[in-house]
This record gives sequence, structure tokens and C-alpha cells, in this order.
Amino acid sequence: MKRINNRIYLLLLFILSTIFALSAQGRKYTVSGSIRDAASGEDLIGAEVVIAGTRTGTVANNYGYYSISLDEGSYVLAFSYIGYLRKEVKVELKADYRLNVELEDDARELSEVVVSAERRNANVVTSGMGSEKLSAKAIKAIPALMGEVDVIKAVQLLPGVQSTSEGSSGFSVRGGGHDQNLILLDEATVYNASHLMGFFSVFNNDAVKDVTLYKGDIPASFGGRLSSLLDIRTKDGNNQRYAATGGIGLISSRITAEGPLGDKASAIVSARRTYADMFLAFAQEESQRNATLYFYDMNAKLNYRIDDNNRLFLAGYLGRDRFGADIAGMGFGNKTATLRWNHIFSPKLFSNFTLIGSSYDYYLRSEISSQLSQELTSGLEDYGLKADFSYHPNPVNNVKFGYQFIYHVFMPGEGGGVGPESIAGRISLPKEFAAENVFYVTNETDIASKLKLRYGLRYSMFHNVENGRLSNTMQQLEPRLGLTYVFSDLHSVKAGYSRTVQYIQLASNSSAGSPLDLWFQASETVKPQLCDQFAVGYFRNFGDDEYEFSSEVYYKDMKDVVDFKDHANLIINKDMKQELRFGKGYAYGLELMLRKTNGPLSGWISYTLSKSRRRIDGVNEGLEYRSPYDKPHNISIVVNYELSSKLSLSANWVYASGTPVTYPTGRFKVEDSYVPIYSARNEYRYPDYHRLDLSLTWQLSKPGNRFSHELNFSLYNAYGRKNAWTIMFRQESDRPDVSYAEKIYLFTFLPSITWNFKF
Amino acid sequence: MAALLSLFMAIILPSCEERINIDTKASEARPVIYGYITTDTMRHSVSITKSSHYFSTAAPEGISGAAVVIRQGAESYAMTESASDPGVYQTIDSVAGQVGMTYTLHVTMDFDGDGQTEEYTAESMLPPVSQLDSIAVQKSALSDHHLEVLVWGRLPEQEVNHFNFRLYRNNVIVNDSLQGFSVGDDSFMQRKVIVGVSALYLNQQRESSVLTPGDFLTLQIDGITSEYAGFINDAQSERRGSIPMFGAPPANVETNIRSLSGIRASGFFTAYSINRASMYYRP
Repeated sequence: MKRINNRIYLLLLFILSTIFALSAQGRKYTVSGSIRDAASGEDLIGAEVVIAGTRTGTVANNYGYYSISLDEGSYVLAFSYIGYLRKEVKVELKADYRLNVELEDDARELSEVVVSAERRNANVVTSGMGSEKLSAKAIKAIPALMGEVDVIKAVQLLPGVQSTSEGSSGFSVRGGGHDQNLILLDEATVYNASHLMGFFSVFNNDAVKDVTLYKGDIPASFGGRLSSLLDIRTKDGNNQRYAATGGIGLISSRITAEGPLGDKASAIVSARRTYADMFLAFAQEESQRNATLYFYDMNAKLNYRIDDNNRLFLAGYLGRDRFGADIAGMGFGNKTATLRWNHIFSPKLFSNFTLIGSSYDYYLRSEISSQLSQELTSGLEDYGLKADFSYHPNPVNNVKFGYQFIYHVFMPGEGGGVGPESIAGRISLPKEFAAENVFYVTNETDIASKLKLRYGLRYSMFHNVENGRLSNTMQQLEPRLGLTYVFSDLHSVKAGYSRTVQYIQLASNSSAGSPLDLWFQASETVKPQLCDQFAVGYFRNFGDDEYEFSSEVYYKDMKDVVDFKDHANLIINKDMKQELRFGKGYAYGLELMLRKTNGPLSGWISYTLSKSRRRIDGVNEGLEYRSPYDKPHNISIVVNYELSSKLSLSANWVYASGTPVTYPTGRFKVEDSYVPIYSARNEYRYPDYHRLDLSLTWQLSKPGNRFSHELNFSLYNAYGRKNAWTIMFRQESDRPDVSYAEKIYLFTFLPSITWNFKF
Repeated sequence: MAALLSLFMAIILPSCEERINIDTKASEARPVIYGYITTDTMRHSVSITKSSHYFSTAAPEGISGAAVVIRQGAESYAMTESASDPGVYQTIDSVAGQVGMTYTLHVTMDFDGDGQTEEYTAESMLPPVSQLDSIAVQKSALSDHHLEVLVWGRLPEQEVNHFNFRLYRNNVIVNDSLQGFSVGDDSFMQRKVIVGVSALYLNQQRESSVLTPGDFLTLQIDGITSEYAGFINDAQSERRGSIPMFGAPPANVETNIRSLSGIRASGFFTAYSINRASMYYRP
């Protein structure tokens, strides 16, 4: 308890010193308001406001709200956002002033494939590093597997990000595990972001407004995972007119409807469903013809503007996969719900209060016979609330502080025999409960004309809860620090440090992740994972900010990382924690990226050189080994070329060193079968991975038509590279003493066509 | 889970396969000791071979000249090497294990050829016998071309039993390889009585397991130790391989052969009980 008190005092001291420093400012007036898209009324997250002719300014927050405090006087404020026409507004500042701004879409300037910084040189002048932003439009332009536009597949093309396996929605960031990524949908945690065993993600791009990946410098307002934050915000719904968007593809269709509800509200509903099971009717096996195979998901959001100072958002997601046949089946899915209240206490103080609910569950059944009929369910639920405040005392300080509470309910497993004839009894592993309390404060400040400092502190406490009482408390101070030196508008150097802590872990014995993975909590016997990350970067723009170059070097030191003993049993195991092994890890790397942000030809080239290692007692005889995500060389090239006003061509090419693998190096024979003897853990690698995807989008409608539609042709793995998904080892049937390796590959030349429409 | 995985591979991943060459260094050769003693009165055997490079094309080399003894309390059964089968060591014909007894295997040999002998030991308790009343064969829901063998009987009254089923057709074993073993346990079963439960499945599209009317079928239930069940399960799993989303990292199968000299050994020594039930197959 004494240690906890000390840390609370430290946090309070930090907050007070920040407030004291800021209060020593003279009398200022505040211009504040919202920045929105003129056509749809959507908030423009990250839009920039600057005092024309200076570098002084701010950016709109996640709700499009900005606030800038200035001395009395006359100013020209310039509002800009990539892909939109810049707008300048003259302001005579004699008192606090509310200024809502709408920006017009600039179709001429907007390029298709842009990993956008908020403003043309934001990558140079802002204080953050290790983060990438993707717009829905950018994601849509990237060639997709089976034509299914996918947020996470787009994220996997960013430097420092690796796909966990061919086609998988799992990803590794800077050598971290696929379980070390916090994925938020409108602030609710998505615990399993995959559909169809990972081949598609749960995010319907039509409903997505904004995607930001933080690879290291995670804002202090977020935490709970070691490696990254993927922050996905959905659209609020068009408040100007009714609109619909949709598409019909080879394996799924989707529809989104949005529009105003009176003067103060708007809503959006988005849904999609696959019909892959229709094709099973042509299967040779009768058991497969009757199989079920589909997923569906739905996003809905309502926002209501009570007045200029109050706004409500209600958002929800529901998704489900169903897969099976007469003898066996499974289902899994996520549900999330968030209710947010934006309240502006004063022009300088913006707040957001959020209630959050999130759940994930899976269901397994086996019905080979009435006696062997069994089922299993497992899952978890989160209930939380957040209070986030932004305080803008002056143009050179931006203070954020807040509190978060999450209550976790873990349901490790319940199931057993089904029906009176089943020989299996029922088993129910006891539910587990935990609570998280988090306080944070952070400030971004210009400490000199060219030097920006961002510093923050997150104080997290994790409590095991037994019989309604806190039984064990773990806590950690998580400092965040960022320094930016801007040489000029064209280049800068940045450095950052962050500590992240992960209190809930994933019992996943696979490197790619599966729907059956189980989350469990840190406890007296399971320490939370901890990571210290250091990063340095150089950022340079060329050609009137048309070309952006970035280079970052990082080093991550990880403690108490989790792995599992050999042949671990992680499903419905009451002694599951006996299967855990703990140790440490490190990762370091260099990330280079060159991107072209506008013009007919746009895109990026990225290269990552990295190394990731683990050392865990009880694994690989305690010796250091390659983490499953150690791929030293990784290249992504993403290109979009507008051939004409009606045709655009997109391509991406990816290359990665082979995934580390443990190969058999010996064998012995028992019971007429050869059993492998293995190399050291991950001593070898699969063959290198590379793949080219192409897509062509053909606009079928004339520009300016209310009803617009297009055809998208895509070709996944265009040159048919047979990339190893896995390698199996077998014995020849007619020469049983001969063993051989067999590569399993999934997709070659996979074409698809999708018709998209909008009106 | 296995049924679900098969279905998943068949439906979702109509993937392609291609034989490839993999260049790996050979792991150091190790002795492989494998054998068992059962409740049947018979000549029991233990094989000692040498492990090889994974992509070796030769049958394993038997290791001759070892001293092999199975001990139980004051009794010991010295084993002699087969004249026709180098590396296979046998008891006399009339040896039978007893339920509840613990058997220890002792092997002494000079595996590394340094002129010094090394000692290897392993031990196993012999679990109780299950009661088998009758068996039957019927079509399986698994697929159109699978039959299943049903069993009636009773498992021993102890907390958890582990068992393995073997099927003989006209006195010739059908599931004669590791992959065909049908290992299970009753940890989730609510009663010890077995009433028409599937013991194993026979793919009628596979020549080796096709049944024809009039075949004399014998189902054997082996009462095995949890350690041996783990060995079989893990060995089967490693033989089968894994796919990224459901696969655990490959790992060596744990052995109960202990080397007193530091040389790593593989294999297993176990004791198990046996019971049988028979029928003529009449579809």
C-alpha cells in the first residue's frame, strides 16, 4: 500500500507541476470549435489549425474539436486537412470565440493511396513518432484478398508491421506478439479481430472513418498492451443528406446507410455477410455440402448534438462467424458498445466521458454420436468507463489528462456432454474477475521555437477480484517522453521513450492466433508483461511536401513475456497456468519509408530491418531463440496510379524473410512410425515470402452523378508465388523409411471482382 | 477438435501441396529404447535402435550387444537379443505382467563407442484391466465411408483411466501404426460404464481397414499409464504436423528413458493391461 501511495503522490506532483507551469501564462482568449467535412458533416480528426505565416497551431482531436488560445489581436487562421481545400478565416480576437469550420473535399488533390499525416508536413513538425494514419479511402485503394477491403491487411503493409502468416488478420508490431496489440473500435477493445479463421478482419471498411496505428509511442491515455495500439474510429453518419454505400463481391456483400435525423442528429448503419457456404453446394462430399460457413457483422452509430457544448455518440458492433457441419461446428464473435458524451466545459477545456462494453466468445460442438456429443463455450467481457480531458491553455501547450476503469470478466470454459446419452459430464472452470484503474496526464509543449517536448505519465493499477473484493494489486508507472527538433518545415529529428505494461495475456499456442485463444489475467503467479521502448527518427520532406521520407530506429526491452511449455494444453484446462513459461525478450530494428502523397502516382515504399529474440526458462532449454515474428528483412511497395478519370490501377508487392521455424533434424521409429527429433526452437526459416497483388478500378458513372458506381477487379498473388503457409513432414506410403517435406500453400492467382456503388 | 480441424482443412483451405527439399543439419544420433510388458503371457520385447537424420532413407540401425533386464521387486527378466532381428531383445515366452506392479527397465550398453558402458533406466506401473463385454460395428456419422466400432464394458474404478484401442481383423492388427492408435481417457466421463461408445473409426476407402462380411474382429483395450498416453498423443501430434492458426510450436516428444551418463535417449518403456472382445462382422 505504501508503494501505491508513493506512486499516487508522484503522479499528483507531476500534474501539479504541469498545471503550475501552465498557469504562469498571461491573459489570453480562445478560438475553438469543430472542423468538419462540408459534404457529410463528418468530424475531421487531426485537421490542422495554424496562425497563418507561423508554425503556431494545433490539431483537431478525435471528435474534430480544436482550441487555440492567443493574445488579443487580429489573426488569420488557416484550416487544412489532407485531401481538402485549405480555408483561411480572419479573426479579431477580443474575447473567446467559437468558430466551426467546414472544409471542402479537394478531388484534384486527393490521392488514393496515402498513409496520411494530418497535414502536408505533419510527419516533420508534429511531436509524435512511430504512428501511421490510414484513411478509409486509402485502405479501399489497396488490392485485397478476394476483393474484401480490409483494414488490418492494409496495416500489415506499414513499416514495422508483419503479418503473422499468409492471409492472417494477426499482426506483429516491431517484433511483438500478435497478442500485444490493443485494437480499439470506437474505444471498445476488440479481442479477436478476425473473421473466417483470420482471413478477413472484423472491420467493415465502409463504416470506418479513421485508422491510426501507434507502434511505440502510444499516447498515455491508452495502454494495456505491450506493442501497439490500433485505434479505429467509425463514421458518425452523414448529417447533410441521406446516402448509401454498398458492394457486391464474390464471397460477400455489404450495405451502409447513413443520414441526418432531424437537425441535431445523424446515424449510420453498416452490415455485411459472406455467402461462401453457397459454393459448398458443389462440394463432392455430402458432409461438406451441408456445411455452414459464413460470417456477418454490423456497425451502427448514432450521434446527437445537444447543443454547441454537448454531444452524444452511441456506437455498436456485432459480428459472428459460424462454421461447421453435422458432426462438428464452431461459432465465435465480438460485441462492442460505447456511449460517449462530449462536453465542452470552457473553450479551453474539452472533455469526453465514455461508457464501454465489449465481449468475445466462442462455441465449439462435436456431435459424432449421441454418446460423444459435447460442447464448449469460453469468452470474456469488459465493462468500463473513461473520462478524458483536453486542456489548451495556450498555443504551445496541450494538456490531456483522465481516468479509466475497466472491469474484466474472464470465462475460461464451460461445457461437456450434451444430452442424456452423452458419456461426458459437465465441467465449468470458475469465472475470474479483475479491475483496472488508470490515471494519466500528458502535455505537448513547444519549449523553444524549434524544440517540442511531449511528456506524460500513466499510472495503471490492476486488481485481481475474488468474491467481490480486491485480492491482489499490481501497479506500474508508465512514463512517455517525446522530443522533436524541427530544423525547418522540411526536416526534423525526433526521439521517444515509452514504457508499456500488459496485465492480461493470451493463451495462444499458435503464432498466428486462433478463435480458440483464451485471455487470462496477471496474478500473484503470472506477472504482467513490461516493455521499455526507445526510438529515434529522422523525417524529411521533398518536392513541396509531395515526397515524405522517414527513418526510425527502435529498441525494445521486454520483461516477463509469456510462452508455453512443450505440448501445452490450453483448452478447458483448470491448471492452465501450469502450462505457462516466463522470460524476457528484446527487439530492435530500422524502419525506412518513402512515400509520395499526391498526384496521379502515389504510394509508398518501406523497408524494415529487424531482430526479435526471446529467452524463456523451460523453452528451448532456456537458451535464446528467435521469436516467431523475427523476419529480418521486410519490404512493402504500395502504388496507385490514376490512368484516367475513370481508371485507376493499384499494386502492392511485399517481401519478407521466411518465418522462423523448428525443423526436424532427426527421427526415431516406434510402432512402425517415424517420430521427429527437432532442431533448436525456430533455428530455421521458411523460404522467403513475396507476393504481388493488383487491382483495377473502373468508374462506371460520370463524375458528379448522384449515383456513382464502379467495378473493382483484383488479382491476389498475381505471379502465383507458392508461399509456404506451413510445411508438413511425411513418410512415403510405398517406401515407409523415406521421409520428405511437403510445402502447403494457399493462394495462387486469386482473381475477384466487386461492384461498388454509392448514392 | 480433430473432426473440426479436418473439416476446416477440407472446406476452407483447399490448399495445394508441393514436395520441397529442406537442408538441415543432422541432430546427434541418440539411442532409442522402446518396449513394454503387458498382462498377456507371452515373449515380451524391447527394441534398441539408433536415431538418424530426418531425411535418411534407411531403416533404423539396431544396436546389438546391450544388456537388457526388466525388474519387478525381487524378480527380474533378463532379455536376450534376437538372432534374426538385431537390436530386439526378448524375454522368455512365459512372462506376464501383473496389475499394480511397477516394472523397471535397465539397459547397459556402449552406445557412443568410447569403451565405457552407459546405463539407461525407465519404469512404469501396470494399470488395471478394463472389462470388455461386447463390440459392434455400425456406419459412422463422420462421413459416408467410415464405419465405427462400438464397445460395451466397464472401466476400472480409479479416478482417471487412460486407454488405447487396437483392432484385429482375422487376427491381424488393423491399426498397427502409431497414427492408428486410438488413445483416450475418462477424465470427463460421468460414469465408468461404457454403453455403445465409439472406440475407433475405419475408413472404408483405405484398403488396410476395409471390412468384409464374415471377418472375425477382435477389439483390444490397453489400460495404459498417463505418461504413455501423453507419449502417444504427442508423437501423433508431431507426426501430423500443424497449421499456423491451430498449431503449437513443434517440440520433442518426452521420453521416460533416463540416461545415467548424460547421453540423450528417446523412446519409451511402459506396462499395460489388456482385455479383448470379439465378433463376426455382419453388416
